[in-house]
Amino acid sequence: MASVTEFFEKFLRIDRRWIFLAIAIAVVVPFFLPLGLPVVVTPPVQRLYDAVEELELGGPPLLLSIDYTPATSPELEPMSTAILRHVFRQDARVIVMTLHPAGYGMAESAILAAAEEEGAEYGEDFCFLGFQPGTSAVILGLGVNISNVFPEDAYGTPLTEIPMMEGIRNYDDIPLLISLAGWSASEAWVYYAHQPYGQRVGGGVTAVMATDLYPYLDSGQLVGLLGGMRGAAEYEELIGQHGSGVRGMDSQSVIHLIIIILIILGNLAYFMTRRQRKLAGEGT
Amino acid sequence: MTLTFIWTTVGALLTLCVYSFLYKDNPFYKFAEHLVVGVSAGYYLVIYYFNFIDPNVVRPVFQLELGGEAVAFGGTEWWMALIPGLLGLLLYTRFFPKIAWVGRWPLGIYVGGYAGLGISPVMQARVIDQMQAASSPLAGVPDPFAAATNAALGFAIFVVLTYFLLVKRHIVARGIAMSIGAVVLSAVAGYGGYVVLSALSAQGVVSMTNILLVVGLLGTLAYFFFSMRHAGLLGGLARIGIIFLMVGFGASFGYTVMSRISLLIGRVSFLLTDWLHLI
Repeated sequence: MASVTEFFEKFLRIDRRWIFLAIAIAVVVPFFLPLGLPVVVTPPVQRLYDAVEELELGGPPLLLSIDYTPATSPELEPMSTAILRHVFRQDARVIVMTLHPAGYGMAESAILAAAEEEGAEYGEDFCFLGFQPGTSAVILGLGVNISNVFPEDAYGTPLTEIPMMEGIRNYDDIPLLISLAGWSASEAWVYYAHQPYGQRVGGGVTAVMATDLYPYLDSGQLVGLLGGMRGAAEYEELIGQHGSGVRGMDSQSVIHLIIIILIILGNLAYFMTRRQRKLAGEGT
Repeated sequence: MTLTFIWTTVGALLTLCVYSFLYKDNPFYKFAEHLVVGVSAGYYLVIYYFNFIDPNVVRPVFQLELGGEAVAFGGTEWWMALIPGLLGLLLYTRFFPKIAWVGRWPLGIYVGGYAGLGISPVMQARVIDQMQAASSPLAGVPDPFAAATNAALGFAIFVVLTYFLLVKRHIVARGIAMSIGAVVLSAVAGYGGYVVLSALSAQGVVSMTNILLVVGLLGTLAYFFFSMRHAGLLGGLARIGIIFLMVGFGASFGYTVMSRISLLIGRVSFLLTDWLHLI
């Protein structure tokens, strides 16, 4: 018993850099030895997928707001890639924009990469409007007239000269809007696009933010939701093309296992040493 | 050596600089930290100028053309663009103590404008629609989350019964065989609960998801009701509320861990794939 307590006392004093090392190994190893754990699709992800599936061939476009920054791209970039692949594969069209200044580069690289891969054409299948500051004013303004807010696309071409923007005036002409955000932009889309205009809004957010957005799912204010890397992995599973989302989930699962073991050991160590300290206190 | 490889290597080295902090604070980490702040400030300045100040102030005021037509400010006179531009400049008067008070005007307009834009839709989204969604029927409706809810309730029965038998009834002190028996009994009870609830949900008799929602909502509201002493019915409800709050915090914590780990995975993937091409 004394040796067990001794072990736990040592465990409580462990240099936390050993834990960092364990986590680093747990991240790296599954990249070389994939576990191939199954990805089960949850209803919120399925609902978003179904909503994108409803987009018509060459019909009204999806509005995709890529509102994330490089800091949150590991979670959100797999989502944008998977959604854009899905859209282009069913010959639907997409308008891409961002509400975050740092989202400009993220949005541009995501759309250009997916378009090149799927053979989509600028101006016909997709266009990139760029960035406008003033989140709520921008979202409300798009409900009145898109060209008031974005008179030209990100490359200086007036919207009137972009073929796919013909007949696209405001939310009435956009069947679905998806916001991929590492901050409160997805909520802003619910407040200012869904509430006043009845726009169908879907979301993709970092895992930290997912619990904040779940209440909007049951109330129907969000069509569907992708939460963190897990959500991206589920979407990749649905489109049948695994990417960085599914690949990252193996490391994610191993690390979760390590963290659970550490939590159990930490609690055991705490209670065991506490009892020992109590006994030692009674003895003196 | 291509330009892409050079920039990828710069990114990789900066990533390693940042992670070197995990060993201990050092000058490489400080360098990367300061570089991020400086580059971000420069990047944001350029993006804001070309996406906001240039099209909304500079071009309309100086009648610069876009697509062959002079840019108007929202379809009105050019001088109208000066008003928001001037209000924006006034914000900087806070750097001059004698006239710093002037900066309150644009700030007041800004806050007032955003409050006016926001109050109605935010109230609708966060209060009215949520109240409407919470008014759910408890029976006779299909339960889309029945499987997850019933499994969670079955597990809750198992945990509560195990705790009750082992700790409250002191079975743990009566030996390992008795303890295992108590755990098995709790597991059987939990599974039985799951089966019964599933049968009831399948028949549409009750919607356990909605019942949980209502109980959780009332309990949580009771916990935050401070005008009465938390005793009797209110105390019981508040205790249930605490359980729901703890479950909520636990879910948030789990998601936070997942989020932070995802960022690490993203960086490791960048190092192994984009930089070293090992995968």
